[in-house]
Formats: sequence, C-alpha cells, structure tokens
Amino acid sequence: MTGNLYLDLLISFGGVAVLVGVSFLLGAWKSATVDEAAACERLDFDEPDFRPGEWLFSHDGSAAVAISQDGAEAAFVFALGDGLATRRVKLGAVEVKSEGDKVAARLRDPSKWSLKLAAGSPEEAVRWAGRLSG
Amino acid sequence: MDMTFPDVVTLAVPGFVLLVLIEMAVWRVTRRGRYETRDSAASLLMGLGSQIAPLFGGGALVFAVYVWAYQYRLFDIPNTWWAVVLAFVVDDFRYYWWHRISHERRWFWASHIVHHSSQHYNLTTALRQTWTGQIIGSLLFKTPLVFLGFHPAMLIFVGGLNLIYQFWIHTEQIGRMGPLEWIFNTPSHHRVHHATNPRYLDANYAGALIIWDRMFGTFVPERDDEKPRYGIIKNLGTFNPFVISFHEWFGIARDVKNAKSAREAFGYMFGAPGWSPDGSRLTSKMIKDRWNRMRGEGATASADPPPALQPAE
Repeated sequence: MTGNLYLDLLISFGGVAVLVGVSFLLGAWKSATVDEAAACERLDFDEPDFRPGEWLFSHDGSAAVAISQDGAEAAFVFALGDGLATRRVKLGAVEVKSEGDKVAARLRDPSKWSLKLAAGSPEEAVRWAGRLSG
Repeated sequence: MDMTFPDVVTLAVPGFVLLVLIEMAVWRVTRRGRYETRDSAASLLMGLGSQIAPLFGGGALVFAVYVWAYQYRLFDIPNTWWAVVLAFVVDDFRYYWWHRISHERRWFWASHIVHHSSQHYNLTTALRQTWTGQIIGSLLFKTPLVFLGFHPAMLIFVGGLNLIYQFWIHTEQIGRMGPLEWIFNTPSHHRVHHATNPRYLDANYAGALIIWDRMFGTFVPERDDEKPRYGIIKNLGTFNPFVISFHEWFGIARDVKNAKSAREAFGYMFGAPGWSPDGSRLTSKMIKDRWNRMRGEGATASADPPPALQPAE
C-alpha cells in the first residue's frame, strides 16, 4: 500500500465502506421474519431431536420460542439479518421474566446475551415467563 | 542468495474488491446465492482487523522465530522456480493439517470459528478472518518447514499465494469444474467444507489441493440433492466483529472457570469442539452419529414428518 499505516487504514476503511454501500444499494439489507414455517424449518435442521410443543411467536416477527413436548426444554429461534439461529436450553436454566407485554430471556450466550419476545399482552407475557422459568 | 518476494496479498487487495463487486452484481441479476449487508460488513471488518492484528507484535515474533530456525536448517533450498513450487505444495500439505486441527481441537477452533461464523457463502466470507491464533499456527506448523530449509520469505510468499487461491473458491456463483475437481480445491469442495449439514461436517480441509483430503479420508463431494447450509452448529446472534472474534474464547474461559477438575479444564480447552464431561453438548462426531441414527430410524419407520414439523399440541 502506501507505507503510511494511518493512510493505509483510511483507504482500507474506505474500501469496506464502498463495498457495504454497494451491497446496501443492491438490496442486500434484509431481515428474516420468524414465522411458524421458518422457525420449524430452522429448528428441525439445528435440533432434529427436539420435539416442539407449544410455540410463542413474537408479534414483531423477530423471534419465537417453543417448549418441548416433554416440558423439559425450550428452544429459542431468532433472526439475524436474513438468517435464523437457535438456542436450546433446559427449562429453568435461563432467567426469564415478563416486562410489560414482552418476555425477556437472559440466554447468557456470548453472542446472544438476551432476547425479548412480544407476547401480545402482559398476561401472556407473565404466563410465558412462568412457563419458561420452569 | 537473494530471497526477495513481493507482498502478494497486499497486491491482490484491489482484485479482491473488484471480484466482490462483480459477484454482488452477478448475485443481483441471478439471485443465486445470498448476500446480506450487515453480514458482509462484519466479514470485511474481520478481514481488515486480521491485517491489523499482526502489527501488535505477533508478526514480528513469528518472523524472528523463523529467522532463528533458519540457522539450523537441514538443507539449503535455493531460490529457484522449482523450489517455489515445492514450497507451495509442502506448505499446502502443512495447511491441510493446520486446518484440520483447527476444526478438531477447540483451542484452535476458537480462532478459526470466526471464518465459519457467517451463514452466507460469498467472496466476503473469504475475508472473514481471525484476529487471534494465526501466530500459534504459524509457529507450530510452519517452523518445521523452515528447519527443513525453506527460506522464511519464500514460505510467506507461498502462504500468500495459497491465501489468494482460497479467496475465489468462496462463491456459490461457480458450479463444478470438471476434471479440476480431482486435484484442486474448488468452490464446490469448499462449499461442503463450510456447510453444517451433518453429511458435510469435518470434510474438505484442503487449501489449494484437494488431494490431501482424498489421501487422508476427509473428502466429501457436494451433492445435488443436498444443498449446503452454511454457518456453525450454534449460529451466532450478532454481527459485532469483536464478539465474533472473541466469543469462543469467552466460552472456553467460562467453561474452564466452571470446570470441576484439571482434566475437565483440559478437555474444555483441547478436546473436540462441543466436548463436555457429561456428554450434554454435541461434538461434530456426535451430530453425525445422531444423524445416521435418525436416518436409519427414518428408513424403517413410517413416513412421519420430522419432529419439529409435527403440529404443536
């Protein structure tokens, strides 16, 4: 490059900005919606031996959680960009509480520390927080 | 003897940028493959960071060790074209083992996981490189080649060529490449390597030459009936480059802190990724075994839908 570290860094950041800008302009900024089909499909791939029972789909489409049919585990499914990711936990192993009409879970995962789901009403949020707390 | 080589990686950067732009344009037209702006931004920033990281002393340390080792070389390998070709092949062999261990031992995986952490597979993914661990890898695996007699500058040069080679194979825009697939690592082979489908796990560690995988039993071909799904077993929940870079190290530190014995701590650090003393987490071998088991059950059972697709009660 130029031999000047700061100038090289500036040029490099400029290059990154150009590429990011072009991808944005080409319509690559996308957010997945966590609906039933998408959540089930992702969960089936990530955790094929998890048998979901009751589901809560966040009303903003950002996440969902399923309690297993045996009532021992939960699986969170959340969106990241245009993809989905999952976290499978034992019921009671993560701290869950209701915050208004939201269910807030502290997953304590290094890359996904916490998660909120819009339950639709404070009553539903309380009910789900109770169920997920085991 | 004169051992001066160009800094090929730096020279290649404009080519990287151009190819990314071309791939984006092709993706926009064909809609083959996937691009996501924040994912690409994270990958590009990881790539930039990986170039800055060695400036904090690691690069100089590695070179100093090479220079020291070169004094005790077994052979005087000259600066000729055939020596460069030989160095490339030997270094590619070195890369295969370094890469394989980077997948099989968590200490090394904590660094390499960065490169696999995108759910996308495009040319920006190639630039999603680690900020940690290259130093250990270089010292452990390249120093023997210096002792053998390859000049450090030549090894850095061929290492750069290998890195450039590996850039263009990170794409879904190129299908299969005929007879080249027998010898070289190709986009098809490397898509398998980045896939998390149980069938594709722990396969195709090659850098430039796929022959190493064929020789050591880790080759798996891409199948038309099973599209690779990219990422890691537990996909990340962030685009933050710092979290991407250090999350697995954080995980190791937390596991070691909670370990009940030195043996457990050792297992968390140097066992297979996913190892746990009680088997409550899954290594890739366990995932493959589970997949084989479920596949076997599926073959004999009725045509039930997969568990997660069954209706909720």
